Amino acid sequence: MLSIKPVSSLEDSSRIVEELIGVGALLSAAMLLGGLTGFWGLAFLMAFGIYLARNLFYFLHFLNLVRSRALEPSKAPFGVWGDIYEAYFEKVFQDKRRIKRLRSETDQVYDAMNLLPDAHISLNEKFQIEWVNHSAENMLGLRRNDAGHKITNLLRQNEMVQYLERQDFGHAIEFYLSAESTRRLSAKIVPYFDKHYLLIIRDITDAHNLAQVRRDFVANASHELRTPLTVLNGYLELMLDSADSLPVIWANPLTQMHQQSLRMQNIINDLLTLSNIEAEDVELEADYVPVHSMLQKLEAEAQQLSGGKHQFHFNLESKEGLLGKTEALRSVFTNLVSNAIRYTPDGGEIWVRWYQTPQSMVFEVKDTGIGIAREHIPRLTERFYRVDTARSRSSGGTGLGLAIVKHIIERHHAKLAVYSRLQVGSTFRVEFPISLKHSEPDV
Amino acid sequence: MNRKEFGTHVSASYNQYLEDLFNQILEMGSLVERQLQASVVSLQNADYDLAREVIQLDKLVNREEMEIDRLCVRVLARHQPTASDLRLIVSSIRIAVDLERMGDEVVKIARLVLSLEARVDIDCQNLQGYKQLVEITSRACDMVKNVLDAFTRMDLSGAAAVIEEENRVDELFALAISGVTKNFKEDKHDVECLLQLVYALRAAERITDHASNIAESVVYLVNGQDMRNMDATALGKYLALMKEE
Repeated sequence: MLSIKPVSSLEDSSRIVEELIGVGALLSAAMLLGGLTGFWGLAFLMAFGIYLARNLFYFLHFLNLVRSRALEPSKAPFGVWGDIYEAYFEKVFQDKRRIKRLRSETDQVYDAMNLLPDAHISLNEKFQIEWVNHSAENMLGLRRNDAGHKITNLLRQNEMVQYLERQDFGHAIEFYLSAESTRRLSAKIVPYFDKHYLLIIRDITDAHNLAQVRRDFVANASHELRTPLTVLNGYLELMLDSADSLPVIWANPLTQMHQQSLRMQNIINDLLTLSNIEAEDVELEADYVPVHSMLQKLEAEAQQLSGGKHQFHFNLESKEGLLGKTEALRSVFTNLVSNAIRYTPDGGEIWVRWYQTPQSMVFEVKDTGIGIAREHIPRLTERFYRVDTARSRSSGGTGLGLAIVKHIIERHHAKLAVYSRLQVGSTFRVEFPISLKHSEPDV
Repeated sequence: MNRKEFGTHVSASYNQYLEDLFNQILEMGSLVERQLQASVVSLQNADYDLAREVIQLDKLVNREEMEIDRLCVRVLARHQPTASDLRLIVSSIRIAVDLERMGDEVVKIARLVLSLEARVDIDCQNLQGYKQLVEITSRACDMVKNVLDAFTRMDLSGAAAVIEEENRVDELFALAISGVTKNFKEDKHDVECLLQLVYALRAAERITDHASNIAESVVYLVNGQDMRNMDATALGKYLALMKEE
């Protein structure tokens, strides 16, 4: 093995000196030969020929070396050629090291990819497979040497084909591998690198089933509870109607029981609403919703609900309506306004705005209420989540209002933003995409 | 032979045409696959809407066949393909015909499901033959999936497996038919239902035949070997050879 020297050994003039000595020796030999024989021209020609032949020999030898990609260095020749050989071997040596390092790095990455529980498939810009990991082989029946095939030639599910055709990778899709397969898969494409895509497929069977079980349970339980409650309520109302004939001490308990059973009914109704919204898999059938007039009516209702304890400012700046579900949107607006009333102390102010921005139609409710601590805000839309348990009970909410709001606005592709400061007030803003904007149709 | 060979021509448009053709066949295949899967589910759950969807899908399948013909003619006319390219064209036309026939056969199965919609009084679904029909259709479904995978991958052993599977399904079909014949003789079942069942069984069996034909086309495409004229022993030997590859 050669010792490693810096590539720029041209600065190291020893090789040039060697070369010059060589040339000098050749010239003196020619002069000697010329002096002896008298054929000066022939002697110099011979010397020149020898020099040329040597260079030609090493040139071809070197070319052969490079072509055959010889990795093991041979003995470096005398003179400038030695420099070239050494420089080449050094480069080869460095490359070898670099390749080895790169290979170990890529091996590491591939190993890591193979250990991932989700199927990962790398695709090029034509959606042809570049590589697949172990999970993709096990989960989808792809093979390691499937590189070059278009992914939809092997994963021919309709959902997958449409997902790639639409080229809208903002959301994931769900599909079954085949009609009889019970494994529910979720697929998502993430663009990466330069015009490459990473297709990630995850087995969500368990989560999917669990969510289904929960939904079914809630829907069934609330449905089953409704009948006994209606019976209870009915008899309580009957008893209240004939309260005169009952002992006086029962009057208060009966009213309380009636109130509580009504509240329970509200909760169950909300739960049913929620499970109905969740069960609607289809894209919503949109109608024209006259938001402006709806909010005008809401103002009157709000005044009534508040009983004159709050000051309302309804700024309906836009006359436009929305495309959506009328009842659902009404319950969004009502829920948010009644929340504001509920959590704003007497004498507080409530602003309701309906306006248009370049990207969205915005419904906003702002109050000077008690506010919400920062840690509660992300969890507000969970079912039965209570910021302050004692207080919420007394205010008579069901704990489901914001969960319903969240589901409805998700269906409308809208966003809910909450800003709040304790003791200062809260702002709830719903931003509907501008594509849902709709003017009143001509009758 | 490798799939990449079709992308090695000097003319980029030639490469693109062959690529389009290849993708188009798999697109058509995926439609038939969808039809078959839907028919299995509609048989199992007596899902009439799904059965109607199967019939609807057939129109798309027929349109795809015409599209494939058009693509084949385009390549033939503009580039005069030879060797493996020519084999791709020939087998594409054949595969498209087989797929189209499959689509027609699935429709027959869907018709059986629909014929039961109005007749709640009979219990066709509980006949042994009906269960065997579900079994055969589901096998056919797997075969179509496997043969399309084999086509994509130019995989001879996959194609050989499909051809072998077809023989097994034939035995199943014979069994099912003899069962239905027995039912006919017993004279206590609804004749219309039994007749429909025979049609559907025959259709399911035909689908597996077409799948096997496609597998043969794949072999022809890859090896240039025409398997249609082989006798049983030669075929057996050849299949064993292919599986080793």
